[in-house]
Amino acid sequence: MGERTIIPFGPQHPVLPEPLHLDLILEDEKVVGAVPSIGFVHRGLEKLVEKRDFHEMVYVIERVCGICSFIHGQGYCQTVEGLMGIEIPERAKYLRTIWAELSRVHSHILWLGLMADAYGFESLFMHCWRVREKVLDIFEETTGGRVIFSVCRVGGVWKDIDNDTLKRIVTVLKDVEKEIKELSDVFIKDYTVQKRTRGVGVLTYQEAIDLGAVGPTLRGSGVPMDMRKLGYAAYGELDFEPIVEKDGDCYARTLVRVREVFQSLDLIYQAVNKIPDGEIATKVRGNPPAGEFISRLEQPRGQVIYYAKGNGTKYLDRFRVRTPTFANIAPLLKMLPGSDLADVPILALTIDPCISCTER
Amino acid sequence: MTGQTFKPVTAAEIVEKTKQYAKDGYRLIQIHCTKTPQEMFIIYTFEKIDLSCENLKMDVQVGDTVPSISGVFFGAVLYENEIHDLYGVNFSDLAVDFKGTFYETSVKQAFAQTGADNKE
Repeated sequence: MGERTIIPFGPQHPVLPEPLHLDLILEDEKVVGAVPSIGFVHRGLEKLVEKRDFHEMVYVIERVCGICSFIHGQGYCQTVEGLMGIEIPERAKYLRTIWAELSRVHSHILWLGLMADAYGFESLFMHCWRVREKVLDIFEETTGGRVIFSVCRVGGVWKDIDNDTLKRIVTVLKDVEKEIKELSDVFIKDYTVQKRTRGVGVLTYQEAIDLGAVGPTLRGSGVPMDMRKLGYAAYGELDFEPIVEKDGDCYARTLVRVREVFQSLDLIYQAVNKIPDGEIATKVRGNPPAGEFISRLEQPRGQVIYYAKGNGTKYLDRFRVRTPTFANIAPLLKMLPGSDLADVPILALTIDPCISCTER
Repeated sequence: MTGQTFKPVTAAEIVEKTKQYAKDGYRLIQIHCTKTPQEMFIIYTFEKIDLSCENLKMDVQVGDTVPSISGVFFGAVLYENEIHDLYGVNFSDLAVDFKGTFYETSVKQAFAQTGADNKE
């Protein structure tokens, strides 16, 4: 056994712009253990539910994260609607699905860019983020925002997208699809990428289940779980199967995200073809009743869980968000032992950590 | 929407019930605490690969000690340390005990104070 050394990784690190700290226990260059620390910037946003009424709270919950802000707003609204027994119009369900899948596309492309940056492939990083701008332009055109959209409301959505605009969006996305196909070849076929990711940070099928892994981290280990299969929003009307890779290593998690970009684009095309005409919101009367409700949705990083407890007033007693990154920290601790110190930045990136979500 | 039932459980039962869920093919997907002026409880949520899920609900008080389930599902470590730091509930036999340093909050047990005074 070599001499043991503890190397601090983060909370400030070039590949992690957000504060996640790991105490890496090393024997020579090999990681044999890791202890995480989070909570450097915990904001206590959930607590604000006691001071913001249930209509206003959606704008707080959107700000849990700047990358998956829309799905946080959607999840909040869906949970409160469940608590109040509100059925939203069909068109609103489709619009939510389209914005949610656009969020997944831009999040995964953002992540691919960050991975390219971690490999040292700076041109690839810039190309990924250049393509992502086209998706952000769609958000700006349809919602008025590029990061925070404020289009979800309890009872539906605030804004419609007319059918001509939807067709134009599909044309833009066909360009995005073509460009991502070209870029994804590097992530799939490049020798250096494979050398850095194949066989690194393996999480087995059973470990992924037992440790509570979610999203591409779970599906990269062969587990076909995707919360969209619950059929919320318009997903019950769309044809798709969870994207699964079996090897459980960094390469498998990369492949899942690459393939999910194309799956999300396909889901948007399907939704645009099927979206019905009609109202985009239903009138909400009264306050959330006494009771509780749990929702599970699929964020780009994996399953997110929302819990709401009402008391009959306009303030909820409790709103809880269990974010995907929080769930993926325990699996990360399992993946790290056995890897080389040099692999740690890329390995940590493959859970796509979002500390903004975690420090809600 | 499935998973809307909350079965009562006591601190004395939680570890055995969790072992039973593990044996039945469930995994732990979240633990959280809620405190209102009237009540305080912890909810444990377990999920199967077919996406069905079940919740257990345990009444607690600030300062109570509850057995940790991190010996059954290691991922519980994070949730239990979070509840300890934000709500002041203690967990015995934690696989990794951060001893109150998991969240660097300026107010200790910040979520154990309810905001009832701020309401309409």
